[in-house]
Amino acid sequence: MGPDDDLPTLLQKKDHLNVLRYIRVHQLREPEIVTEHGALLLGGKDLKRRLSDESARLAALEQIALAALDLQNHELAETCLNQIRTVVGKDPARFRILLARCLEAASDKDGALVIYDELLQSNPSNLMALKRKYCLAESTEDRVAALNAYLQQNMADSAGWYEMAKLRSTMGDFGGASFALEEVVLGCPIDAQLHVQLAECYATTAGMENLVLARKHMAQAVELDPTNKRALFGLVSVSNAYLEEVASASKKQTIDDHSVVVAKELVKHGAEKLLKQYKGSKMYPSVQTLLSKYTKGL
Amino acid sequence: MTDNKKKNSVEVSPESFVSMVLHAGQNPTTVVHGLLLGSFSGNDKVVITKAIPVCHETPTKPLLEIALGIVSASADGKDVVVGWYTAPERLTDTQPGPVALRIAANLGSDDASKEPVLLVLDNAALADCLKGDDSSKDAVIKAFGKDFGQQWMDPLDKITVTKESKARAAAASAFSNADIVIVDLVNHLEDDGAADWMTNTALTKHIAKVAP
Repeated sequence: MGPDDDLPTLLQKKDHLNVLRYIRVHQLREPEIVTEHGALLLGGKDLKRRLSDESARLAALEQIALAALDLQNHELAETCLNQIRTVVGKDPARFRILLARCLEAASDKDGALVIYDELLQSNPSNLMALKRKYCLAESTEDRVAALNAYLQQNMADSAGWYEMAKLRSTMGDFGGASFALEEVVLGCPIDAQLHVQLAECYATTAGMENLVLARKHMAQAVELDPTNKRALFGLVSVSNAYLEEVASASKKQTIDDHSVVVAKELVKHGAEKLLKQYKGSKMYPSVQTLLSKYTKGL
Repeated sequence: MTDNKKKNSVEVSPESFVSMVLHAGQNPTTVVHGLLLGSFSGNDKVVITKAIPVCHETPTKPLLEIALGIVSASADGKDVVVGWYTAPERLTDTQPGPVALRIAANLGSDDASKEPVLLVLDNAALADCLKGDDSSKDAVIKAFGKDFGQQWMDPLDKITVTKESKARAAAASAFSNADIVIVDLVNHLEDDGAADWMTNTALTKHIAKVAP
């Protein structure tokens, strides 16, 4: 697989092994492509053909099994499991995780949990088992406990923290979601979308300090991606929310005048950029009406 | 003043039904949320004429503010905001979740005759509907009004979908039609195509044909 090869090129070249590799490396969810090219790579639906690289064959079989589960094709998944078991036996942890996932897909939750608990007993930091236990958890309390258990073992996992942020948002705990998203932003500081999400969580939690943070992250998002409409609308909304909070603040609270000036400028900046983007579109009149409410009196 | 509060009856137009069901069906792995437009009729009836898809994630305050702001700014004076709809993330989940409940409460005003309604979709019944399976007895949409605890958990039993069997057929045929794509506010804000999220011409044409 050369550096210029993208998926359409590899598909066209019928380079089955590299199609699978590309999908695995880029973490794409393309179960139909994987099962089709997997079968072509390994000699039809029995998947019996050997390759010169045995580990590549095993990795391909694992990938095809997971794609088969995505398509509810349990027969194909079982074929993959049998082919893998012939080579490695039934004891390796990686095989047992795959087996447990097949049980999950076949709705045998208890069977899957037995395997995950066994694996965690011999290795309490088996991250895959902890992840799958989180996926199996149903009640909110169980999900929170399972995700906490995972993150305790893997505190640097941004994806885990992102999952925590989503879970907390679902629960209505936007303060907790902000905490989790801060960890994600640490790992990916130049992703504008993350700054937008973090800003939105702070703005939803509200309060003077949170609204200042919301404004800063929205401004960062606009700086990273100047045409991002969600960031621009968000900038107008959260800066305005800050100004409203200032207007209703008690006289005892010290307000930074410079901060107020900045907020006003950001509302105007966001509104100006949005009007430019929507000019000529069907939505222009309504966007203009909406934004004039924010910029009135500034 | 009687102890039993008069419950609202809810009427859902075919196009709103199909729009909500498709919004959920086309975003199968996430929660979906949207606004309901229509009118309050008399003291006890809510008529829903349009369902406007807002997001396929948990909505935040700025997102809600933008959605309400643009919808109010485009208002033609006929329809007002009458409620909120949501479909839970998981297949077996039937609860709207705290965020949807909070939004429904915030949409309300002091006018007791204009109490917003919260519609919650039943994912399993929805899946059957999209497959064209009409054997299920479970309703695809359940309605809730304000209860004594000021939450929106009081079930409203009188909910009807106008021309229901045609609406269900329209939903199933629209689902398999690749040209009918529900664009919500988040799609509109994040995609460069700037597709229209408030009106869906392809869907309107389809409804006019299948459920006239």
